[in-house]
Amino acid sequence: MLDCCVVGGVSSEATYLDKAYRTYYGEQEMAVSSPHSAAYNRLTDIYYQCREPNRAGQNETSISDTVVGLAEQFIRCLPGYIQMPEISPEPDGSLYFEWFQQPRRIMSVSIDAQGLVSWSVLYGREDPRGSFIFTGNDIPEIVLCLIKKVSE
Amino acid sequence: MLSFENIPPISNGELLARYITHKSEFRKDGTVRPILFMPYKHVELSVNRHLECSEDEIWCFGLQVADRRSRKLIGRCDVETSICTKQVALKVKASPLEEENNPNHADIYDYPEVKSEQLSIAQKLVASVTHCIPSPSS
Repeated sequence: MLDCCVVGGVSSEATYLDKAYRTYYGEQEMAVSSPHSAAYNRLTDIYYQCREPNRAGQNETSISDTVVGLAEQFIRCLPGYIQMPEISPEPDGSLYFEWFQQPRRIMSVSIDAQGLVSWSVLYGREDPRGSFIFTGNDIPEIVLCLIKKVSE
Repeated sequence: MLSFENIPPISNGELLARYITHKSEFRKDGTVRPILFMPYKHVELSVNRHLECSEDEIWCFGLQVADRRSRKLIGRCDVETSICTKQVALKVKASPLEEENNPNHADIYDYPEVKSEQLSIAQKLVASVTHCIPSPSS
């Protein structure tokens, strides 16, 4: 869990996460019952796993503080009525978000350290995709609509 | 396995193995995630041909791949060449690796450079491939 890891950590990374989390959400919102908490927990797990010695295989880019910060903000921008995504690290240092119901009902979102969000949907025979620059404040309405459509 | 002296071109019916070395590359139900088929750092993806390989040899190549990535081999996902060439318009070429004694190595290539397009292709590929086949060594 994010708050446990942060409180228990003594590294600069733990301090960074603690500060970022408290800045964005405040003490009260650190409650485990938050609908976003599972996503934050997963993000924290990835953050620490990607710093373990020898974790990164050959040719892999580590997950930066910047991309973790952007991913946290992206989660924060997801309305409460939207199902939270599965999150995975990518070899190029991006973070991958996924909403999956079945192989032809899936939305994939990739966030890189420059704030470029690339997204793609496979919904039956429909396959819309695109990208946008995420500044930490807004997710385009079309993207939220597609997440909702895939998740329903 | 194949011989370096006689590497045949890849036919549409051939099976290709993509090795799984990270738990985030598949889901709890065994289906694989699109990130398994995302190219990095180049716009091509390493796979291994099943052609003339025993099951043991297929897994042996997987162990080599995992070792090179400093990872543990978790499993593999098999994809038919025609899925790559016909359904998503990629190309597949034999790419034997003499330094790794792997004559069955191949590359799926011609991915677009735009990441959203790569994601779209990877989604379509994983909709037509096998589940994660667990490694006997895992």
